[in-house]
Amino acid sequence: MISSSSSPPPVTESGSELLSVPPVNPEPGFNFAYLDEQTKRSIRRAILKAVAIPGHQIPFSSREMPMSYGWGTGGIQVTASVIGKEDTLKVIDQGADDTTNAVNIRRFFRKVCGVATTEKTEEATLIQTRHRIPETPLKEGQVFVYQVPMPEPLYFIEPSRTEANKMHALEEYGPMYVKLYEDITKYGRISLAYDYPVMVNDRHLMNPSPIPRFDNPKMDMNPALQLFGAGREKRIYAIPPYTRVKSLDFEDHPFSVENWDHACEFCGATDSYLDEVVIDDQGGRMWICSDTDYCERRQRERSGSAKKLGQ
Amino acid sequence: MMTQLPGFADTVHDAQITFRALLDSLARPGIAQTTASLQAPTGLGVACAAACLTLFDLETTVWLQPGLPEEVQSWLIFHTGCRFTNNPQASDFAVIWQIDTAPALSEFSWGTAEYPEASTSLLIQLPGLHGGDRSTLQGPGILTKLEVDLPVSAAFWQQWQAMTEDYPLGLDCWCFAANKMLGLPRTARVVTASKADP
Repeated sequence: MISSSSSPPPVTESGSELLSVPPVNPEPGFNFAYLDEQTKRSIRRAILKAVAIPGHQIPFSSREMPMSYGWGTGGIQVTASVIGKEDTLKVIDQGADDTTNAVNIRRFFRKVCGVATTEKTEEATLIQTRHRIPETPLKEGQVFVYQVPMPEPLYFIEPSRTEANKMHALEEYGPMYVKLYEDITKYGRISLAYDYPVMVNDRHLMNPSPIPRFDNPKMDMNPALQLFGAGREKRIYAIPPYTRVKSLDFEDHPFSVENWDHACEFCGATDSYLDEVVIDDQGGRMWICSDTDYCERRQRERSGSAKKLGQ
Repeated sequence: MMTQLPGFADTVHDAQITFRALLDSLARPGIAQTTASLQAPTGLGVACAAACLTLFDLETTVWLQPGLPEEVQSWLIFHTGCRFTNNPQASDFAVIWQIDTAPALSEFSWGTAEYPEASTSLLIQLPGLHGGDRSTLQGPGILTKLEVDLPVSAAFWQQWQAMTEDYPLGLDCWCFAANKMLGLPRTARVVTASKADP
């Protein structure tokens, strides 16, 4: 990580970071967005090919980044190649804007780009995510960048990359259906809870990164441009806006998403993805929204309407 | 011949703005995008010149359609360091200034079954982005369907339609006029091509 000698990000009177922060001057000594222009060009060419062949993985020369593999180096390189000084960046980690990975990546881009940042999904032009799609629907013009640990959906069926490439070329996806069918014979249902494979544009089998299957339907015909970056595996792929994305299933075992018999204990939402949080050593637990921006907005709206009622 | 013309005024941000235009035009086919501006050499329009500076470097091989002024080649060498080829099959990018006399689409590289991305991308300069016969397109990036009236021949659309049947093999195109561009990824399928109303 780059040393954090510069001033800390602005805070509100109550001590928490502001939801939206205007642009600043980037730290001197780095090229805009950290990567050199030559690297950006090669990544940009890969991104353009990825958009032209939805769901197909494009190899790229992944660079070493100032953080270790597994911390979103692929997503960061994609973001760094796409971001401009007019962009407003949002970064989430498992839906939250305030967890270590999200805070660090946001501060990294503030330092090397000086761009405006926000926690509000609807205000962002560029969103980098680890393992969630926000509950607030994405819009036309937004770019949504996923951090991907394992881009190859066939890896656990065919570990050889050369053979897997052939299977993609021949559209030979039968073994993946066999794997899902084995789940049904063993457990009575498809037991994948995250990174649930999808078919993109009715042609390419794709790993959606470890988002919960709850988020899979959001990828289908989404108005935003979705880009995927895998740093260690050196692959980039994409889903253009308004592209068909279908989760694999069987006629007699249709795809379904998780549901909870709880509401969020902070905001009362029943339509969002809930995290189970252990709150003491007595076995106590609570259920809360994983999307912090969505949850906080609902809480603000609630307290606003409560005030109005009290008047 | 040594070029006398500058490239981007702001190499970092002008390239970024132009890349976003290239990206958006592939992601939303048929919707015109605007590039950064610069002083282009004779023979290249502003948008096409900006796209060349954004995409080319010493790792790329470029085919220039014969007939472009020598100034174009020296300008590209000076600012990007790209290599040139006379063989359309061997090129990563092809710069076309006269679509009617250009080689057939099948003369360029469509990639291989395992690596469909190893294909040529066409940078086509047109006198304008409108005024030709209407074609209706469908595919990713298009919500229902989209009508374009690029000033290209019916033969181009026939070749394009034949090409899209070989998907995921194929070519990706950008069409340029002045400082505007329109993207045509290989996923854009022609539904029907009809004569424009008189």
